[in-house]
Amino acid sequence: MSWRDLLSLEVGIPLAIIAVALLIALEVARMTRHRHVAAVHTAATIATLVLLVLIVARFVDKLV
Amino acid sequence: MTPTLVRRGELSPPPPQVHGRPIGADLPDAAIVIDATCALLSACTFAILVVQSDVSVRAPLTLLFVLFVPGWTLARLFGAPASVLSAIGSVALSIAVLTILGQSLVLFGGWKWYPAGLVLTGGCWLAGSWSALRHAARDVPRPVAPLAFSPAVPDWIISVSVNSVLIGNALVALGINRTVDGNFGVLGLVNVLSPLFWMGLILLVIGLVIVCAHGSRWAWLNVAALVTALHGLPGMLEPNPRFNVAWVHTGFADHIATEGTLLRFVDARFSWAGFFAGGGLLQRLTGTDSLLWLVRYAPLFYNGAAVILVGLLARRFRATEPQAVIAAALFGCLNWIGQDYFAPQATAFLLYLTIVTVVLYAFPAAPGRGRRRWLTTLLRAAPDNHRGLDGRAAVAVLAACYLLVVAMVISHQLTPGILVSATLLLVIVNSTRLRVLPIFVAVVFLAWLSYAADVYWIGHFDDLTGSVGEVGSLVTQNVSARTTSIEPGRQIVLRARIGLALLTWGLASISIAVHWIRRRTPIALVCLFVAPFPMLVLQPYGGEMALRVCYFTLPPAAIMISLLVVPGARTQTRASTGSWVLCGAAIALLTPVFVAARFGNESFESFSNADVALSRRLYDVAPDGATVFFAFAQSVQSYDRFGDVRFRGLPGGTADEITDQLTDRLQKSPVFVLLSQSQEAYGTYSLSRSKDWMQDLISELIATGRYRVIAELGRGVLLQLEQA
Repeated sequence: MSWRDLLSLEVGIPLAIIAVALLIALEVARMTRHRHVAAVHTAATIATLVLLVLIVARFVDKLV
Repeated sequence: MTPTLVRRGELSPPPPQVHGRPIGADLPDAAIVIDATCALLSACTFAILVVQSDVSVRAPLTLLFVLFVPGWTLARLFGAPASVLSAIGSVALSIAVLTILGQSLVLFGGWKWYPAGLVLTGGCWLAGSWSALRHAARDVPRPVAPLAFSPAVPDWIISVSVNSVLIGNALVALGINRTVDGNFGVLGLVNVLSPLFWMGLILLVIGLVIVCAHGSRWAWLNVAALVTALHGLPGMLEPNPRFNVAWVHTGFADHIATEGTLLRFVDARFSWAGFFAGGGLLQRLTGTDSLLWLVRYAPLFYNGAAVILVGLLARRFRATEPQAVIAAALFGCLNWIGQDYFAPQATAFLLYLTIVTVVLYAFPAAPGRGRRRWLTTLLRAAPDNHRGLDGRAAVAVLAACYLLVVAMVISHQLTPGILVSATLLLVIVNSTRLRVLPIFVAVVFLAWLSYAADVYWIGHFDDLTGSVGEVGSLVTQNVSARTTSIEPGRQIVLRARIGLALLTWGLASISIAVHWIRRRTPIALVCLFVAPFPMLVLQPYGGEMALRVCYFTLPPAAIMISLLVVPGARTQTRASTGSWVLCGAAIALLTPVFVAARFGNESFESFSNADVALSRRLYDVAPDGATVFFAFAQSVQSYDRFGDVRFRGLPGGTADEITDQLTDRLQKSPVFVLLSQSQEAYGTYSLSRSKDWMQDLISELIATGRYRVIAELGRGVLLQLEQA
């Protein structure tokens, strides 16, 4: 498995779905003042950042 | 604090209110009726789909179903009250469901539309029936004094409203009937409309102002009639659906309906195909050959929905009923921009407006209580004591908002950017507590752009990024290039457009300044007004970005203008009477300017019967793989066999040079040349060519001896290039 495989749809789409789901969970947790809001916040931040890194890498990879 | 009007359990928190009226209790008794009607509609649509019946009511019934029932059923499952906001939210939610379902079927479902349709209609039937029975079994809370805070409306006011609408509509209809359809000329519709039409409009405006001045809700009837007369005008007047791009969009939907695939390498719009996939699904569910039947009155639908949302948004910002009504009427009279046809951007605009309205109603966060208190102090924000939703209801509404965002992102490439900008500003000024929403929109947008729209940006990266920050180029493309015509009549139309845009922005800015001085800045409205402008600096979008900015700034601008010019107090003083007279005169004067600006292109954006017949003849004779050349894109095109019959612009040069270039193409595919009346009008009025430029071109092409005349209808002609 090369690093380029990380930029493929097979990795990106599930990660995007996870990141988006975690963002929704975060908003819900904030709204309901859930006790695990900090944990959800951390997970959503990590997933979103990883996704953004992959998106930028994919942009660069396709254009260079 | 104003007491609640609805009797509820003692432990229940008071519902969110606007001016004493609970948001969710406007239509309490209507809920069960709507539930039952939706269940019945779902059952009928399900039955029609099961037997694949071709009854004439299939298309309208299915359209009603897809535009309302899925959203309403979902909303009621989570206990949404029967209110105007719920109803309009249901429309947006239904469109989102259709869009996401269509796109999913194309991408992952092998375009199995039939089982999907059965599940959708059957599911709505079951869920709707259960919901109707559940709510009917409950003790429905009834309003104790539904209009206790509104002044009693005298009977004569209702009579003024109804009669002005009846007589005004009759005059409008008669005026349209007496208007000579045909050559609209350089000024478009404003030049040809019968005086009776204008009399009808004036009567509607007089009725509107009189009823409004007495604070009655009946004024909405006049607004509905005014919007119908203005935005339904070409649909009622012209023999065929207008605007070439709308025809192309039906071709996209038709391609997806019949093939179940996306032609992402053929057209960039297939990278954001949610709207078209939803259209394709609708076409199959309605059992029609095309969605052209929707094109004619699509602007009326989009503007009608937007007008309701503008009214709701105005009420959210402490506007009185008359101010909300006038804001809605102003939106109808100022929306000359023409982005409300059968198109993804019109749908995305509707979703955008619904999202921001719902966010501001359900998830407010009072300005001044956040961490950036200095900002709200600086902006002199008006106090906002509006209460939002909590608990399960809030989670359900939030989920619905996110569904709308996804539908918007997969349908249109620009609107998510404006939504990010708007929600970010709302978060910064602490007007909403949804701090994750802008991040969510941005992440979904970037993910879609990166993984699903890569075909587009890989090929157009320079186009996308080349103009960032080039203000001179942006002004040239957005304004100068659009106002090049030297035709005096054309200049009137173009100046009317620029004038209306500047008037809107100018009055809205004055309103902001006045409210700031009074320390009552409607800060969320200002955010919505400012939000689209950054897009203007980022991308010219082929010269259309200024139009989009105008479009998205219009709802907050209309509300702010209304807050500025409409008297807030309900007492009848001499000053307020004078203001109402001025207001009425201004709206009445605005209508011809609107018609000139909005329908000034009608000479080349409408299509005569000859143009349509010529195009149908083309599809009769053109084999798959044929290439059709036209002088300008302002022509009936691409509504059928999209991908099999391609349209291209005619190369420049003399008739011999053109023929030589087309001959090269002839080696690959049959070549046709389509020159229609709408193209002739575009060249004459928009590009200031001579009146006979197209007839001269036709004569020169035929004189080369290489073309066979397939059809000649009106002033248009269909030619086929033959081998030498």
